[in-house]
Amino acid sequence: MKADLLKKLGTELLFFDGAFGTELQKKGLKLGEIPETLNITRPEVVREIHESYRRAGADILAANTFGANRLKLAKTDYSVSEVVTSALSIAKDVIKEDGYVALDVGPLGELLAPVGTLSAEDAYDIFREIMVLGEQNGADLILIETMTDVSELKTALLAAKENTSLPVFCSMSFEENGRTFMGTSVSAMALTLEALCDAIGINCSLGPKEILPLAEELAKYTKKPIFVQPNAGLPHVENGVTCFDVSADEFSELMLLYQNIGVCAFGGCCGTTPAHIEKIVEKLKGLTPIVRHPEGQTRLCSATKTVTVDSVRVIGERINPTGKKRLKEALKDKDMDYILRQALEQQEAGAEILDVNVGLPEIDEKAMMAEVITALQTVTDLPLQIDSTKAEVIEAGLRACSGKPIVNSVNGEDKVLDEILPLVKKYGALVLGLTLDENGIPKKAEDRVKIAEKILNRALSYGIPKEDVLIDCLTLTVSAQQEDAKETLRAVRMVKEQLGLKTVLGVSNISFGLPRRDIVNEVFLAEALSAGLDLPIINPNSEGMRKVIDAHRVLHNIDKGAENYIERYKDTVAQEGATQKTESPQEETQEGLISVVVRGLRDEARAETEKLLAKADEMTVINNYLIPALDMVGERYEKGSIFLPQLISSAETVKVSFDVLKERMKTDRESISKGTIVLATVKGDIHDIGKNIVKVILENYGYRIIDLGRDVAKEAILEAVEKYQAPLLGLSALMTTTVKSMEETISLVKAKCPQTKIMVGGAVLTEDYAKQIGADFYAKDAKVAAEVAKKVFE
Amino acid sequence: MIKHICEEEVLRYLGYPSRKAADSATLSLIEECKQELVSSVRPKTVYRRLGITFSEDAVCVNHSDIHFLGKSIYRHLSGANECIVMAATLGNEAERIIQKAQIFSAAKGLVMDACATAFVEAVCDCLEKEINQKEGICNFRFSPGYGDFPITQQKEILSLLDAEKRIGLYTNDAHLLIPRKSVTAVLALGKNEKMTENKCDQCANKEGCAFRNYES
Repeated sequence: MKADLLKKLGTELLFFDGAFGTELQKKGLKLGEIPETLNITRPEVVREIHESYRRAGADILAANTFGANRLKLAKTDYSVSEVVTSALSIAKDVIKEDGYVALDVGPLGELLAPVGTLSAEDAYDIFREIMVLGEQNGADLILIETMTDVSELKTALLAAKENTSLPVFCSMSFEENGRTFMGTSVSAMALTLEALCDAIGINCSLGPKEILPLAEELAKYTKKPIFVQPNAGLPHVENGVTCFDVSADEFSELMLLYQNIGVCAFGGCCGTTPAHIEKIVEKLKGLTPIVRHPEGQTRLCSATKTVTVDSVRVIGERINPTGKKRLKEALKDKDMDYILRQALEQQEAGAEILDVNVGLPEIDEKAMMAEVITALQTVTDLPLQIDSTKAEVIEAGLRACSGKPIVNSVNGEDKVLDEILPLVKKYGALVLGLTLDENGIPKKAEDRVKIAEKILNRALSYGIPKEDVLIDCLTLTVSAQQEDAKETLRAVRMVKEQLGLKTVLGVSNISFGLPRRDIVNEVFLAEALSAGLDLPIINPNSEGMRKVIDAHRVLHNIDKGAENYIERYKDTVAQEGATQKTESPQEETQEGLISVVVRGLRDEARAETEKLLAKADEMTVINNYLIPALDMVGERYEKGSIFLPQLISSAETVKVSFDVLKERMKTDRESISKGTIVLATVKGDIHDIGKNIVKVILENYGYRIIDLGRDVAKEAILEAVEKYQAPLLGLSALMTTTVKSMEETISLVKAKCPQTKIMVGGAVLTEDYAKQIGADFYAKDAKVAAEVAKKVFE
Repeated sequence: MIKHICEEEVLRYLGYPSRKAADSATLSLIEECKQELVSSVRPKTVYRRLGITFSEDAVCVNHSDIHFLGKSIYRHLSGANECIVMAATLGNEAERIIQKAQIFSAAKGLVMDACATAFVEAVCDCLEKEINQKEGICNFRFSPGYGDFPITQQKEILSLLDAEKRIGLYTNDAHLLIPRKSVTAVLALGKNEKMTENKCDQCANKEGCAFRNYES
């Protein structure tokens, strides 16, 4: 019986093997050849390499399975099962009883959506196949390595943990700036993987000198055992051959430095040889691992940004449909652009964490949570707070999140704690506990603190570290329960002082029902901050709240030298009372809106439209201003005196104006819409510039657009066409290779919804080609698309 | 590294016949987008010098089982003993910047996309210069998808370069390069012919293309 690998990892140093790929190349691996096929075609070569590393003293041999996945083996004659079985049998035969064989798992070779087009479900399935085969064929551990995308790594890790009982070691490859190609930082890797993996490391890409500072950084952020497998230096090409220069002596000297910072397993990647491993073993064998004591700080992260809660951090509250008509609409229509704009605006206004709540009765909240989080992660690097009371929604969010998020929320009820805390533990999130239970919100601060203590103790019993528990002492409306506001403040102070936990508060609840809510909100925020509030949940776009926080940071010596404060406010002047907008002369306005549209001055459209509405009704604005302006722009575009960017700027300006009119008319969108059009870029294609231009123009003509985004499966397109009963579907594909996917979509939609007309566009399409694949219309540009729409809807 | 994106190229992608045709708002938007890209994108490149031999209908890459297919790449490389296979990418950060721009404004998205295209071309030009200096004179960049050089060979080209590991460049099952703003190309080493005709004239899509360059 082998000794427990994880126990050994804490008590003695362990040694991996070195490079496999570069060793295979020396033995005649052809360029572009799939190395894993050699397990079957030339097993003696694979065996020789394993034996040489074993002789050098490696305890752990990584089987030749790095690329043994369905995608990479597709072009070979071998199945994943054949490759994994043969690879493990060779390695196990060499290692015998006193060492370990790792199932080696590298990246799939395709990027996951939404960056690439491989779905998370497919990726999970491909990884699961490998992991299960690995365990069945006797692997002692799983080594997931050379990853650059933390979401791919997390998918692999979940596939390993949920389908096998093997220990899992994870490592990523960084560039010298401390980021992977996909932008993941060392701290974000550590925080994201901490709960799920058994050991964490850095491999490949750089040599031992360059990785050292990164390993030091890693040691600050993880409590898990650390391993490293550097390259033998940075690669360079000599006479067409890739070379690595760090000698076995130098390499092993540097490994001593790693041992000093607490690294406890060592190996090599590209360019290292059995000689390197032999030297490392010689130098390090017999030393004991250094016990590390990384400090437990409250931290969260996205894939690319880490936020430490060491001073006030603002949580943006705006992605929450409660009381927000426009956001409800966006969620129903899956208008991702609107939701993402909310995120970016909050980030620009100073939000450091984003709350995400997509709870609406009429939508599939679970699917929407995953979808919104996935989309958010493509444009914002802010860490997220998953806001739902439903376990399945929270779990969907946790799986989709590539980072360490906050789960919002649990409370003092046993049922809730025992349902949600296991999820928090499994995925390694932070948890926000509300100080209420089945009896409601206690009046007295002392009783709220008791609930907080219960939440903390239950979290600890599930193995959630203290620093990952946050408490919300709950803001009550001061106009209804006036005596409770100071209890909330008292509770915040007590939770901080007695329990030592970070606190959260939704601030603006305080002022419901009062005039000038901003005044009460700002003062309450200031008082809560001085009571010790760490994470206010606010609308960061509110300037007043922003000012309170900026001033607080100066007063509490957080904003050193008031640098940020000065930068932000040095050129501003104080405003007395509510500012009156100055009226501009009427005659200017008449010309104004037309000129604003023609010049594409989007920022001025709202004010101009509002000015006009003071003296004209909505239809007059449309007929006498917007339509003439659009005609003028269209004409100029036709004549070639303006070009596409200007046309779109004007269209976007009109859109702002339309939004103002819609708010005024207070009618349902349906009643002023000319009809619904579904738009999508087809499966496999991620080009969406053209589609987005068509969208803006069609919106201008008064159509309601359901934009499904890019890389959309034909089934999803059919579903939307059926759901919205769209008379017109517009499809976009840029490449010849994705036109095939367009053709399949057309035939599916035509079979199921023959009444729906389909128009297509994209660089490689022509009138004939469009006919050939079964489309009803070919739209060579956005203007033609508008003409097609007119034909279809008239 | 490249800090210059050619404004003229950007204007051409956007459909402007000349700089004079552009309004000041568009020009300043182009400037803003260029700044944003060059300040936060770190382009990556990799190339490799490879021996080649010719069979009856394909170019064989020595020490591999990879053959470049099609008459046009055959013609492009014929007479050479070696070729350069290269790849360049702006990486995922460029994608993020374009996405963000699109969310705020389709016009800015369009301009950002055009700037990124011009940027990756500039990166390729710079790499080509480096190759000419270090490895010797080459003809010009010929990419999968040009003429009858199949775009389906994209994956094999990446595998010759180990491009996933070296610069984080991938393809999907539709053979798109991901991140999107990326280029792969093959050049003949030792052939001094420069592109004699307009690059666009060789393209299979020349009739329908909005970005065709009519100058030669």
